[in-house]
Amino acid sequence: MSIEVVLFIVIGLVALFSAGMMVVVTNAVHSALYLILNFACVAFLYLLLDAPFLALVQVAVYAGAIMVLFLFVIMLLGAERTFREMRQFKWLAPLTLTLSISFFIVLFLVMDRGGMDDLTVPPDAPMLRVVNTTPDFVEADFFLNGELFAEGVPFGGTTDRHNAHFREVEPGDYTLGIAQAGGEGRPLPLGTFSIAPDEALTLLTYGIIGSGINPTFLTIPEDINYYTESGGRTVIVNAFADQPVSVVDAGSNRRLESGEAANAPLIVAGLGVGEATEMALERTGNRNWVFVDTAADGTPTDRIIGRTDQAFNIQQGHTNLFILARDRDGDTLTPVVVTVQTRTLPQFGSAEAIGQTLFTDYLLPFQLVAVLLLAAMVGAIVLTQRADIKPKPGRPTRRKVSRPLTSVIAAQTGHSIAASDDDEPQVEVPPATGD
Amino acid sequence: MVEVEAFIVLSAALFILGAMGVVLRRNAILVFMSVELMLNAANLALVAFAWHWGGMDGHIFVFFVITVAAAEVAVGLALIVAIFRSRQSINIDELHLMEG
Repeated sequence: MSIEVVLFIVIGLVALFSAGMMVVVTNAVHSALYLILNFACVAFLYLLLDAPFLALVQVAVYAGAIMVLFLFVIMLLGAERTFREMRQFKWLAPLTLTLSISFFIVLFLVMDRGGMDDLTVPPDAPMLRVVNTTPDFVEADFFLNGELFAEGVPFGGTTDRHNAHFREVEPGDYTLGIAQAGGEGRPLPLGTFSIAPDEALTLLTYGIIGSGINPTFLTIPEDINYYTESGGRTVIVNAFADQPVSVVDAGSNRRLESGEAANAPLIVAGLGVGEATEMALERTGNRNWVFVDTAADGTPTDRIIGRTDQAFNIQQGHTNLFILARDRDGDTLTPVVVTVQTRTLPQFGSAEAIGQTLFTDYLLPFQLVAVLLLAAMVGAIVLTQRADIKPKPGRPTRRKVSRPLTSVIAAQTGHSIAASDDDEPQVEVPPATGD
Repeated sequence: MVEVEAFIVLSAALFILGAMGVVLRRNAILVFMSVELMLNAANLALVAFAWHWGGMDGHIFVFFVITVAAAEVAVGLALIVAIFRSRQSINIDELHLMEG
């Protein structure tokens, strides 16, 4: 028996025991305490079910806030004292028992005959995104098997920002095509790739028409092994189409000179054309990376090819893509470092995943629930407010307010110091004699 | 590995205990707490199925149920306090008569 099964049995028994005791005990305070124990057990079961966020919400909202409210009302009304449970409806108890047993019978029938075991969990739809570093296509439309996948992707940009830039596609084999945004004619085929369920791929297009390397693309799968507790996944790609490069870390130094590059800490050495390397880096402060030329034997030289255009930092739970690419400026091609920092696909059950689903697919229900909470707040106030809070007849309605200090001083000195409110008793102030 | 069926059976058992509390107890606050227990049992089933199917929607629904339960508790307890003020009792057998 695994530890999970043991935990489930123990916690489940405690949950059942506390629920039963809650119903049975006569003292309402004891009932509330048993219910808190039951809520804590359910929170623990949520942890077993990979729902850590809901487990914490359960403890904070249910076992915390709601049960405090219950205990408060029990104490306020003195309801903890036991009163004789009247038996006006004697047929209720056997009826409840019968209904409960039939409910269980139906449940077991459903689980036995309904074929819950036959249902295999469908794999997640594959996710795809495209990063455009093809200088010939400053704004590119991407096609999968001739059908439009993403339109208007700028140079150095990715598909839309929704869901960490990934889009769901059907699994299968695809041909990726590229065309000028809004342009006529057939898209230029870049190559083929296949995508399987549960995969998440980043397609990175590079290359220049008419140069040594024609436009093609690189497939970078999302790999959860490169995510750490406090760091992010970093992918460095050489899409420069000329020679192998190395990457050195210039730290916070924006302008690293050529002579200093050899002494800077090395991130990657000898990255070939069209090659990508992945690593897990810890969270850092501001960084500047410099791409330097690399000799044939793989040692970096002093010649700087490109730099990250602004300081960046490695963030937790982000994928950082650093691509050395060529940009077209008229007829001349200049090396440019493209930085694409995106959030990772969130983990199942995490607060991030819940937040993302809540604020994209369930935004309207979320707003409605907020309105409902507001209505409940107003309703609770209206229900509990006393009707006889009106002042009793015969009593003066004006509040008795002691004379404010300022008016006392004013009366003694003969000067009006502060204008008194209408509510407060007026103080006789002698007319000012004039200054 | 615990099967999802085990969670469903546990959830059904908790639900039935809550339903028994609602029907058999006469203290309005206890009835109310039993309703909370039933909501929790339903939440447990939702989270278990979300875990089984690997979808986030069950979690979102549980989130909403918790929110609605909080609103319900606020209004329900206000009702109980108001009833107690007028009838000096929260025994629901004495309250089922709707006159005056």
